[in-house]
Amino acid sequence: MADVPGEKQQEDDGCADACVIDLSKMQQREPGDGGNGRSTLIILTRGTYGHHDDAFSAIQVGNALLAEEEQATLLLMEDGVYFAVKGQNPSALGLPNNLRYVEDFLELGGRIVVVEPALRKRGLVQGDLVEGVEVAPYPRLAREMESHAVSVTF
Amino acid sequence: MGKTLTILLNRGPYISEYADLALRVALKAREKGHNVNMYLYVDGPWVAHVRQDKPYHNSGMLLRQAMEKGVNVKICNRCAEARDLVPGDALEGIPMVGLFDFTEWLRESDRVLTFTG
Repeated sequence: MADVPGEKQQEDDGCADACVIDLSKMQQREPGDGGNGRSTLIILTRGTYGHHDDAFSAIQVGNALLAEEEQATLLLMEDGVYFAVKGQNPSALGLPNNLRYVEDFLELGGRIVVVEPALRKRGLVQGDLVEGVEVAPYPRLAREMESHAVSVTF
Repeated sequence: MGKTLTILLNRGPYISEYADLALRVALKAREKGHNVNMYLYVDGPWVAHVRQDKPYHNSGMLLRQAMEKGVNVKICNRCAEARDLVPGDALEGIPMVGLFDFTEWLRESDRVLTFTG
């Protein structure tokens, strides 16, 4: 990440911490730095840890958009619903925990919407999810797609 | 005047048809006069690693054609670093950049297509 809050990543930067969004630096930004208020819908269909890189990459896109003061909604369907389960701890698998990025996303103003039937089919209820996550029926998917400028799917 | 299409390619060559499909869409969109961006994300950077001519169809060949036709291609630098891909491993002329380049493309785009699976 660049030293100046909001400064764009340069091509020759190292990448150890280059693409992971640093919330503390984003909080130093001045209002109006970057962005034009467009909205992006990020659809995640993959489980958090079975397809670790898809889920991790999806939330990184979300946090990058929010860092630039764009609007972003993360819509979780199919196995993607596992992404918002509170208290998840994959340390026994030797994998990093994505919860920090989920919390950053919400704190930066992102919305997370979970498709209810996908949640129910996996034996989960809203109380199993991180606080602030919305649960919605399938028809909301169409409305969310209509109300965002673009969408990307993982 | 053409519109701007951004393609997010999350999959590498050979294991599925996604890389080929993404590149064929990119080529067709260019043929129709549109601006086309392609961001190689997650396993997508492996497509740029296919650099040598081969006696069979390969995604690297399509990627070279796409670049010759004016498709703008960038590689996620974190994804490349995680896979030990360095600029010398990729087709010449493809910058390795951070996610903010991709979000900038999202802002400029009329349409965005994701190829994942």
